[in-house]
Order: sequence, then C-alpha cells, then structure tokens
Amino acid sequence: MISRSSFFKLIKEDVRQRLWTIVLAAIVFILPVPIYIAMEISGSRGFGTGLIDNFARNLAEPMARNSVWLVLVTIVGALICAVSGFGYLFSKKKVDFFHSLPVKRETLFAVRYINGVLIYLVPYLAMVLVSVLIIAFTGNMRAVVFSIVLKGLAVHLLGYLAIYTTCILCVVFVGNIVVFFAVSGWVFGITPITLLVFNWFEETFFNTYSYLGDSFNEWLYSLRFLFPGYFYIYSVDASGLAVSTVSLLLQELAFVVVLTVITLLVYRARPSDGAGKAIAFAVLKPVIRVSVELLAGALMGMMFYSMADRSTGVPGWMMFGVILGVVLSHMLIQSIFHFDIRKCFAGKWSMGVCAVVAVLFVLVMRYDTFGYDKYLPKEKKIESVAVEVTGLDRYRNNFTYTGSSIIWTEELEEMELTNVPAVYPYLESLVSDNEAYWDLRENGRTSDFTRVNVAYRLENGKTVYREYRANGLREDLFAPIFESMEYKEAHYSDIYTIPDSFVTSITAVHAMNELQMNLSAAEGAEFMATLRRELSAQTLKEKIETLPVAVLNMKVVERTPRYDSDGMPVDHIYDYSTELPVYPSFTETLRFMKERGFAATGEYEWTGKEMMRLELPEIAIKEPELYTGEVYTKDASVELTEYVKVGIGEQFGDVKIAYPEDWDYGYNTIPVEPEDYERLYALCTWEELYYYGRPGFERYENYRVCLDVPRDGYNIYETYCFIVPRDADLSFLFE
Amino acid sequence: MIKAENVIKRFDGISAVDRVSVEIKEGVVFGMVGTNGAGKSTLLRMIAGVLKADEGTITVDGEPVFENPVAKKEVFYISDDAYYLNNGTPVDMADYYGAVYEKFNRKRYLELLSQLGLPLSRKISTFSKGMKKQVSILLGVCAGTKYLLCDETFDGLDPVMRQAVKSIFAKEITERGLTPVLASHNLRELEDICDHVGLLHKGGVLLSRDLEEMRTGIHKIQCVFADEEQEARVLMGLEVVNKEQRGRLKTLTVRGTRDEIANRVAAAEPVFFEMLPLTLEEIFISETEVAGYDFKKLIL
Repeated sequence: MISRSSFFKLIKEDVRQRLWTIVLAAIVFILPVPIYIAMEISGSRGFGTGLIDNFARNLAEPMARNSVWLVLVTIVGALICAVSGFGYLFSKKKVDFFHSLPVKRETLFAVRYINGVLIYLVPYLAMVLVSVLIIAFTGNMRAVVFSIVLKGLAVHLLGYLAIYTTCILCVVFVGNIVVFFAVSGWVFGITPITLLVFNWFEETFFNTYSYLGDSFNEWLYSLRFLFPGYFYIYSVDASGLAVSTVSLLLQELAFVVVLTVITLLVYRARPSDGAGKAIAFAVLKPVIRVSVELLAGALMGMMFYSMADRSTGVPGWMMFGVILGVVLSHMLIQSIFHFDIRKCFAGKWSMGVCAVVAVLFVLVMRYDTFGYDKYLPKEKKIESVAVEVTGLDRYRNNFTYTGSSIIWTEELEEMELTNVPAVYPYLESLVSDNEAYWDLRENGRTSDFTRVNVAYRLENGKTVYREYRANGLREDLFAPIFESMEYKEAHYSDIYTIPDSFVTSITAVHAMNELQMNLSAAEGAEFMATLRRELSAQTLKEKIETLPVAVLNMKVVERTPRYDSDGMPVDHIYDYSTELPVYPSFTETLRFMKERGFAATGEYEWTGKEMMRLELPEIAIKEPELYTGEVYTKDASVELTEYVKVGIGEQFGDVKIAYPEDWDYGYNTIPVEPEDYERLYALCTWEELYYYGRPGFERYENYRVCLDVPRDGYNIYETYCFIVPRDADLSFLFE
Repeated sequence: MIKAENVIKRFDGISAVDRVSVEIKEGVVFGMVGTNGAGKSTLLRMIAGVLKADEGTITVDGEPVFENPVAKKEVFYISDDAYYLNNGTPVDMADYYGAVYEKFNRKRYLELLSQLGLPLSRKISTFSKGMKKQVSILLGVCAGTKYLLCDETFDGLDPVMRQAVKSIFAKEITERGLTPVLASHNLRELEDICDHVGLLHKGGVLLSRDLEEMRTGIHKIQCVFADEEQEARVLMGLEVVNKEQRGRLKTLTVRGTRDEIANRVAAAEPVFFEMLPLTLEEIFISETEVAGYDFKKLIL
C-alpha cells in the first residue's frame, strides 16, 4: 500500500499537472459572481429598507440552485475535469507511465477523482466566501442568503459529482477523445431519446394514448438511474416533480456512490491496451451499436412517416426510413469502432438482424399488435379508477385545498372510485365505443362521441391513463359513477375542500341578472352546506335533462400562510375564482338566493338601446360568386369541419357553402331587426347554462344570439350570448 | 528473480506473446532480442505490471507483479516512447518518481544529470531524443529498484553515451545488484553489455542462454587441409555446427572448448589453421540454425 504522505504527494503532483484547469476554475468561479454582486450593490444605493430582503435574495441568485450560469459551469467543468484527470487512458505512453508505477489502480483513481472534485469545489467555496463577505460587509446579509447558497451548493455539487463520475466512466470505456464524446452522448442521451421516440410512437399510433398520463416523464423517473443527468436537471428545477428536492438529492447521492464504485471497478478492469482503441471493452460494442441502430431505425421510420403523403405510400416510406436509419447508423458506428470507413459494413448479419427487429417493432407499434387501445385491466387488479368526462361542467376551474394551500388539480389525479364493480361496465363500454369511433372516423358521423379520460390505479402501484371516445354520455352506465360521492368530491373538489372561511363573496348570475349576496360568516357557511348537500344529491338524469337556472361565482382567498422553498413567508395574496351551476332541483339553494333578491330567470327590461344579432353556424348563400373564396358543395365540405356536416342546411335548404378568404371559423352574422328582439329573445337560453351538463354540446351547431346591452347609461356595451336550438323556427326573421 | 511461466497475451485475437517461459536472474544484464512484433515490448509491459497476462504467471521475487505495488516497487520500466510530465523538467520527474519510489536517490540523480551535462530545470519537451533517453535511464537507475526494464532504450544513444550508461550500469550492478533487462531488435547493441540473452520470435522464446557460456562453447576456425583424408580425420572428432568453403579455405563453426578444438585440429597438422572470434550475431546464427530456424530471416 502506498503511504499517506506518498498519497498526498501524488495529489500534489497531479494538481501540478492540471494547473490549467485550476486556473480556469478559479477565473470562472471567483471573478464573475463577486463582481456581479459588487456591481449590483453599488448600483442599488438608496433602496428602501423594505426591499432589502428581496435585494439580498437577488444578490444570492447567481449562487442559487436554479442559476443557469452555475448549471453551465457545473456541466462543462465536470466534462473538463473528467477528461483532464483520466484522459491519460487515451494515450499508450501515458498508460505505460502511470500503470507501471508501484501504485494500485485504486490509488491512482482516488488521486485523480479527488483532485477533479477539489478543482470544482475549492473555487466554488471561495466564490461563496467572497460573495457572502461582500454581501455582509455592505449590510445586505439576510438569512435567506445562507439558505439559497447552501441549497445551491448541495444541488450543484451533487450534480457535478453525478456528471463528473459519468464522464469518467465514459473515459474509461473508450480509448480515444472523439469516441469519448460520442459515447458520452450515448450514455447521457440513450434513455431520454429512446423514451421520446417510444412516446412519439404511442402518440402517433395509439388512439387511446392520453397526454394526461405523461408517460415520458413517468418512464424517465422510473429509469432515472439510467439517465445520469436526471437528478441534476430535476433538482435544479423540481417544480414538475412529485418527489421533494431533498428526496431527489438523497437519491442522487446514492446514485453517485454506486456509480463511483462501478466506475472504479470498471477502471480497474480496463485493459491498459485499451488506449488508442475506439472502445476499451469489446463487450460494450454490440450494446452501443445495437441500441443506436434500433433507435435510429425507429426514429428515421417516424420521420419518413411524418413526411410521407398520408394518402399514399406511408407504410412503404416508413419501412424505408427504418432500414435507412439502421444502415446509416451501422455504417457510422462501425467506421468509428474500426477507425476505418472501409469497415463500415462489418457485421452485416448483425445489421440485418437489427433492421428486421426495428421493422418488427415499428409494425407492432403501427398496428397496435399488443392491443394498447383495447387495454382494460382485469377488475380484480384495479384498486381504483378516475373518470373525467370532458364537456361535463366544462370551463369549471378545478382547484383543491390541500390543507395548506389551494392548488390547481387535474380531476383524474384527485378522483379515486373504489367501487370498481360499479364502474367496470362503463369502462368496458368505453373500450368498445372507442373502437367503434375509430372505425367510423373515416366516413361516419362521430360528433356524438365524447372524450373520456380514465386513470386506472392498479394493485401493483402503477397508474395507467387512457383517453377514450364514448358514444354519448352512456347515462345508464355513467349514472352510478356520477352519483357517487367519490366522483363528486373530485369533480367538484373546490366546492368540497375549500373552507367556507376562504369564500369572500358569492355572486349569483343569470345573463344580465346578477346579484352579489352579502352574507355573514354564519350565512355563508349555511349557504355552502346547503349547496353541497343539494349538489351531492343531484342525479345524472337531472343534470343532463335540465339546464341550470343560474351560475354562482365565488371568490376565494387563501388564508393559510405560504412559505417559499427557502422557508421564507410569501408576501402575496392568493385569490381564486370558481363557479358552479345551480339546477332547478337545488330548491333550498334557490330559495336562499331568492330571499336575497335574486331572480333566476332571463327576464329583461328593454331600454331600446340594445343591439341584437344572429350568428349562423353555417353560411348559406344563394350567390356564392359574391365571395372570393373557394366554393364547396355540402358533400365536399366534410373535411372542413364537423359543424359543417351537421349544420342547419335544413333551415335554408340544401345550398352551397362558401367561405370567404378571411373566414376564420367564426360566426356569420345577421343583424336582427329591433321589432324581432323580444320574440327571438324568448327562444334564447343563456349560453353559459349550456356549458354545464352537456357533453358534446357545440355552440357552433346551433344558432347563437348576441345581445349588446348598454351599461350604466354610458355608451359602453356588454355582450351577452344565448343559444337557440338549431331546430327552432326562425322563419319570422326573414319575413 | 523475474520469472515468466507459460505466459500468453493476445490483442484482438492475435497472440503477441505465446506461452513464453523465461527466467531473469538477479545481477545479470539480460538482453531480450527479437524482430519487431516478436513480443518484446509486450513481455516487458507485462513484467512491469502494465498489462495483465491472459494466461500464465509473471512473478518478481516470487510475487505476482500485476497490481502488486510490493513487486512493482522493485521494477522500473522505461518505455520505448517514454512519457514525461506536461511541461516537466528533469527535477519535476524526480519529484514525481520520488513520491512513488521510496528508494529514489535524488542526490545521485542530480549528480548524474550534472555529470552527463543535462540541464536540471529545462523542459524535457525541448530535449533531443538522446537527452530524453538519458533522463529516462537516470530516472530508472536512481529509482532504487532491483530491476530496470529498458525497451529499445539504447536506440539513439551515441557511442560515448552508451559507454557512460554501461559504466553507470556496471556500478549499480556491483554496488546494489541492479538487474537491467534490455530489449532491442538490434543484436549488436546488446553484444557488449549483456550477460544473458533471450531470443523472442513470433511471441515465443527461441532460446535463452548465458552469453559467456555461448561464447566459450562455440568457436570459428579457418583452415586449409592437405587432403580430404586429413580433413575427414579432423572433422570426425569435432561437433561442426556450420561449414563454409572458399577455394581450399574452409571456415568451420565448431562447438566445444577453445583448447579442445585447437589441440584436435593442430594435432592433424593442417596446411593452415587459425581460430577467429565469433560475434554475437554469428553465435545466434549458429544456434538458431541448429534449432531449425533461418536466423537471417529473424534478425537483420
């Protein structure tokens, strides 16, 4: 064993050999931040004392965990230190020199590894020290500065160790600097790129793929230990993660420890004659080659699929892309492995096998061989389900009070329907409806189908997301779900979770009729309790067969103090707005509102200053040549938009449809004569009422009436819109 | 003693060293000769612990050498293309080696540098090829190891410097039993310095002999015989390894002691007779031809 003094002598000698990296690190670390801080301080004289907390925070920002500059320095520094420390492995004469010394490989590794860490850490600490001293001596020191600096140090140091150790592993794998960069790209990129490509296949070829599932991030998290940059990226910005930064850093620490041990073992096992070769370990070659060839094949296949004309030749071009990807990547890799372009076709049989496997993979995905779209877990394996019928109470905001703060939530994340036998028939219908939808999609009518998102929470802890097309609402099967409290508490999570004391005002609205109810705390609590009780008792039948009679707008202010990631209280008022439709069956709620003077009707007193217009969902003209745009027959307009198909041709006869050049899928407006206002208004229902309980409802399929009402006697108008069913008789407008 | 037993080393399926067994005793200057690609460097790198043998064992004083600092402390390896620290001076090199070789004799190193006229604080990268080799040899000599492995180290040294190095070796051998192992493809470079020579060819050892033993055991004579009967009488009692004839002058390479051969030939009273010195090359030619190889194809 080498003595301790010899070990430190080696450290010292290694430092002398890597002097340039130390100078570089010192310049990059010690100069910019203190200078920046000094400049900020010199330019900020005269600030009020109230701003000092924020100012101190700003001063510490360049040392924070999300400092882009530090991230850049960390990544580049890790790369440079790994190569400067272990790049000797690329040179035969250096390997002969160092490996002939009476020093164990472990010692050589430790000397170089530790120096690589010190080259980063010492200037970093010096930067922190100088910066903190400047902040302190200028009277700007606050506790938050220490918090920011220490968190930044933990995140960046661990990130550095993870990337640095991975880069060393890559150096040990190869025998040439150019190949090092290629293999580093492979090590860092193979996992996320493979997942991205797989995700692309899913999105493209699986009809029930759900974006809510976010499978890419989920998989990436599952495979985080195969993606060395994961922990660093997500600890720099952990906002999108379910796990805490501390948990992430602890995992990263474990990752670094394990990776360092693996790197040391690989370093010990590395044959000295690996210097100058492309790859020092022959066993790695097929692993790299096959993975890259398969990935390149799949990627090129998708690129050609995207570029090809969908009506002709898509499968052919896709297969061409797959094979081209495999062959090109094979040629490139073999040329690199052999340092000889003439060897680009070495291992032809292996390339052929890769091409076949890549083609099979693409075909399997393209034709959903394993039944992704028909996936339905066995009833016994489902722990709970979440169902989100889009269009049901559309435009409602979905907030949840967690006990400490109000957060925006996804309905699927909140809902846990545990009575699986009651839900299962509905799920089965979704699978079969979805199949029918996609069969019909080419030629049949599909506008009645509703999008339904489902989250299956399985016994094994996994959550699987799917997006289905249901044929209508499937009232008989969906009713038991809708009427369960588990569904309602998640669907109306704001109503059920936000404390009454947070509700600062409640306004009842029906078109032009609006009343802000002034309620005491006790009245407010009573009102909310009544509302919840009647909401809980509401049946699906009532919800879809009757329209609401009013909408309640509720203003909410979060009263729980919040703290930022540094533990400092947040000086900000979080306020929210949420609304809920009130149905005729909410008798107690309506009585409460009526007692305070609110009439849940559209009654309106005309002033004679109003303006009304009728918007048609479809242009029906008798003289299409007046428009400069293309003219479509009704039959040929299928591709344009679904609403064209189901338009109101019946009302105006089977006419040609034309779209002016500047047509933007908006409405085509007909001014209504004042004498027709009241008659037309009598047919109107306030548009917003349709937005609740009407999945599949499209206003573009109906007439829409907009009424401009003068406000407060000024020449300012507010617009209220209404829906008139498309089967209404509007012939009086044209008489 | 360095001992290699049935050592095999392959690179990408090609055997660089194939079942080599060789012993290098302490206190001798061991010459390792062979053509380019014969496996000399590979064998030296294995002895130095740089490479691990695929099969077989290599021990230094009974200790396996690979990844064994105890054994490696007794071995100093000078590569054919030696590495010097970036921007390193001879003193920097001494500092580095001093950190890993406990017995590194810095004082003697500085003395020798001075004696050879090598600048102490100039970057080695600015040195000539020969100067670099001198630095390497001095570092190796002063490292205090028992074994000094030199791969083609004498290439590029001028005759004066070769003599200087020889005398340094001689002193080290005498004073502390240094065992230099010198690998070269040039037999003439080793002739005047080695005690023992091993010949490597195609990854294997063709022969390994003591040079003095070879020199005393084989001789070249030139003679002219009166007639064929006389010639037959003389040759019958000699172990003739090689025989050439130019006119009536016959040149014979004969195995045996000098006195024995001289007495036997002189007793027959030939017309002309003289004994000539054999060069190392000639000895090898004879020995390898005996072994069935055409030496001229092995060593140029």
